[in-house]
Amino acid sequence: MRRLVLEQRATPSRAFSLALPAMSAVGALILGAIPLVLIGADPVEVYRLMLTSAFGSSRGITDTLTDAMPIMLTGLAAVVTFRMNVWNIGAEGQLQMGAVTSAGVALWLGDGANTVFALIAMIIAGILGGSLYAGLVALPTATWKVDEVVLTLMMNFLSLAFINYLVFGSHSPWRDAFSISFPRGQLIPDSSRLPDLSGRLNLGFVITLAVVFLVAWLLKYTVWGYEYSVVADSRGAASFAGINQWRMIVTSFLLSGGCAGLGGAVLVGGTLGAMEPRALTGLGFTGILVAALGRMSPTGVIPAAIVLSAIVSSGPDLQQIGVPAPLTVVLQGLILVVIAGGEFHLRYRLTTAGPPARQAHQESAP
Amino acid sequence: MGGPSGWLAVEMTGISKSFFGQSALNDVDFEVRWGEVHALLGENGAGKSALCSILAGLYRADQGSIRIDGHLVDFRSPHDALNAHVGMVYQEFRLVNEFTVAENVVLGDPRLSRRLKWSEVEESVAEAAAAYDIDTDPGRLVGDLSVGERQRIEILKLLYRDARVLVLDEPTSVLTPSEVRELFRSMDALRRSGRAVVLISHKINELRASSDRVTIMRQGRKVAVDKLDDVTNDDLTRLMVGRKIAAPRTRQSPPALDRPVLEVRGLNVTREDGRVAVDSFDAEVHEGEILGIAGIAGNGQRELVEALAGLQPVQSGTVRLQRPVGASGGDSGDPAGAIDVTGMSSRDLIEIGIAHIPEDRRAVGVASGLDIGANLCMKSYWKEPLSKRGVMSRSAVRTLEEDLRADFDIRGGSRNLPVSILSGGNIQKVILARELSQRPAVVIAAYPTRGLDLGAVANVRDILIGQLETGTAVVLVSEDLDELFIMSDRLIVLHAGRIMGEFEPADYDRETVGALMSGGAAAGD
Repeated sequence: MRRLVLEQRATPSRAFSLALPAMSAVGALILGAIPLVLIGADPVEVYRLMLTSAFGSSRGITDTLTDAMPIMLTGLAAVVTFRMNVWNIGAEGQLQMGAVTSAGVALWLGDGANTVFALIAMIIAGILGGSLYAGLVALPTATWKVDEVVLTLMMNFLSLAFINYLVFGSHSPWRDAFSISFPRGQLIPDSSRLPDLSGRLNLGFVITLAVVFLVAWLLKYTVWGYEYSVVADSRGAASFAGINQWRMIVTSFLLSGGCAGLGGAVLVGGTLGAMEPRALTGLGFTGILVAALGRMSPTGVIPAAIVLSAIVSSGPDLQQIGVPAPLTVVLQGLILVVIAGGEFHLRYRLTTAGPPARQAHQESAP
Repeated sequence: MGGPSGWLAVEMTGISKSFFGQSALNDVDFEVRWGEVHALLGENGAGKSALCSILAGLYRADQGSIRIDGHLVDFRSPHDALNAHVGMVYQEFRLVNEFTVAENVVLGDPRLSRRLKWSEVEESVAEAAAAYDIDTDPGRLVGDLSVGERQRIEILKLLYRDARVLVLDEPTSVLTPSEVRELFRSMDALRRSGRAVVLISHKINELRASSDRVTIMRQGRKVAVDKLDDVTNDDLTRLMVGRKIAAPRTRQSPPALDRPVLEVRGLNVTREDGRVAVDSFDAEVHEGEILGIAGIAGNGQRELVEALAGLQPVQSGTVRLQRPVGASGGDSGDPAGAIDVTGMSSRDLIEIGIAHIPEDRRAVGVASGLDIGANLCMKSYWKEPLSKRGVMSRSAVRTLEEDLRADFDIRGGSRNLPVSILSGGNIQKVILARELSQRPAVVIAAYPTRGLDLGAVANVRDILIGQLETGTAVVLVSEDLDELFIMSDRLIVLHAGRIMGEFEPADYDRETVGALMSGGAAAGD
């Protein structure tokens, strides 16, 4: 009698953990071919186009990397709290508030400001904006153990209403004063714009990478990171070691919000050039997916964000060869679900019942 | 069931298993007959629990075969094992505290009908309990039950599912003496009903009182099987440990009773729910002295220890600390005078020299997912050389790990592997190494040998006694009267948060102390 059973893997090998996402991707492509064949498209052609549109030209590559930037940062924001079992799902709102503060500072400084100073001020304003917005949740969560999931979720609605109000509902400095019938964000002065590196890719990408590696370093090599790892592993052991958990929760929230806020700043200072509400939604939630695909590792968000951005950015090109827009979304969703779902195999394996396998390790709930 | 079939209840042959590349079981054979209580004796890490976890379907063997009542089985889960009538009661109970007894008993039972009628379920659980002579009320919440009662529910749960081979993993370690006697009575009833019971233990006296045969394991191998009547205690110890256990270390010098280290006056601690946990506690511990605190768990020991370690707020009273002459280190305070440490944070108390061996070794004593080095530096990482200007020094942590591993004979595990894979004894050595390497003035040790095997118990006691020579004072909280009598220079009995009596070694008497522990007056009244 043979049946399929799930077994826990003791320790996944390094090679396997690296190869797994690739294997999942292949599986996803095969699955995705089904709807494509049904509408009469050639799957091979579609996939080739997806690949070339994301990576096939220098323009494709820079576009992919540019779009990866904000979700890399919101992904990092998720990693920073999730690893400590604190669930800040408010990167969405923190990014928006970072966009508000960075645009605000850039607009306030105006045209005449020194470029280096204006850039630094705008970036720091974005980080602080996100950070302080996260701090509003961090304090009640750390002090009175108020549920951070509910709070951060609600704060996302608040910030969304706020940015919409700034541009669509009022005559605030963030709104382009000359856009009457079609309101949009006021462009920030050129002195506060992040210089382009190549194509659409701007200096923000370098800052983003630097922050990712900085956070990875903080977590791995500093006293703060050590305390973080103890709190993440065992709250009991942390109090026993005299680690101030209030401080750890608040600082990780501030760091997390700062990462998301920087995401807002690089958008405002880079591709958008304005606090543009329409372009500032969904990025925080995508960050949670990035964090999961990146296996909750700070540096893991780099490849995860790039892959995600590549998949999403190929949409318009696919429509040009006749794949309907809804289907490109289905295809993208399918690929993501299969890759994310494939991570399951990192910890479990599917086997048939039979003679004992080596290193088999059974799920432990009786 | 059993008997007439002529088959062995359990026949495990050539079982091997390794975890993380380390061999836990090596070609082990294990047999249990129907109608016997079979003890499985061995030190921690000898493979008893691993073997039984394989028997109960929690792990799968790398090699070897298992027969239950003659049938070859291959368990993929505890569920499979239960279907083959094999069940295990783990040390950590697998009960849902928010559920009633009946709900816990039927939880996961595939026979449970989709449309539940709780009155019927409770009735059937009550019937089963009556049939197996287990005293319980099916409607009570498990969270309200004592540890002994919960253990009986675990056994009832297995019997309700018609388990015929029952594995009990160190069942007595959490029980009071009277609960142990009751457990042995139920085990006897199981034996008489023809079932097979496997009792994992390392307490030889208990095996004698309960078991028919014993299988002894050492370092992942089976070393002997005997009828208990045929072997002496010394034989068992020698087979289990592989060597003779050295006599406990003797004290080099008597305590300096004129030099108090820790002085507690009128300490009151209140629980979160507002009830009094510690009621005007007064005590002094002197240089090189072990003060024993006896009491049944839950009588204020936890709150007392946590208050002394700065993990619980002090309601009122004072705690003063005077660093012993022998112990150097400690950054604050005038070495000549006593410092009032009442209400200090746990970090300040660590700095000032109060070491704490917590009762919950795995959840509080260590961060179990981190490696040995990370755990060893948990109480000194903020100081040089372990960190400088906010950055950890990996090489200093590594050096610390190597030094303490050698000094405290910590075995097993390796860099980057979680400390949780170590045996209980070695985890306790990690904790002791960390606490004692801080050169504390006072060590507050809560149940430091609970659940450890003989070799590790001797090790831990020797380490604590050795610490006295530097003038350190030790507060030893324990339920084990033998341990308290051997170790303590003075003994305080705690009941309901109050001191019931204080004893000098000449007056140590099991009956008197035992009576005070349960709240009664001293024997003779």
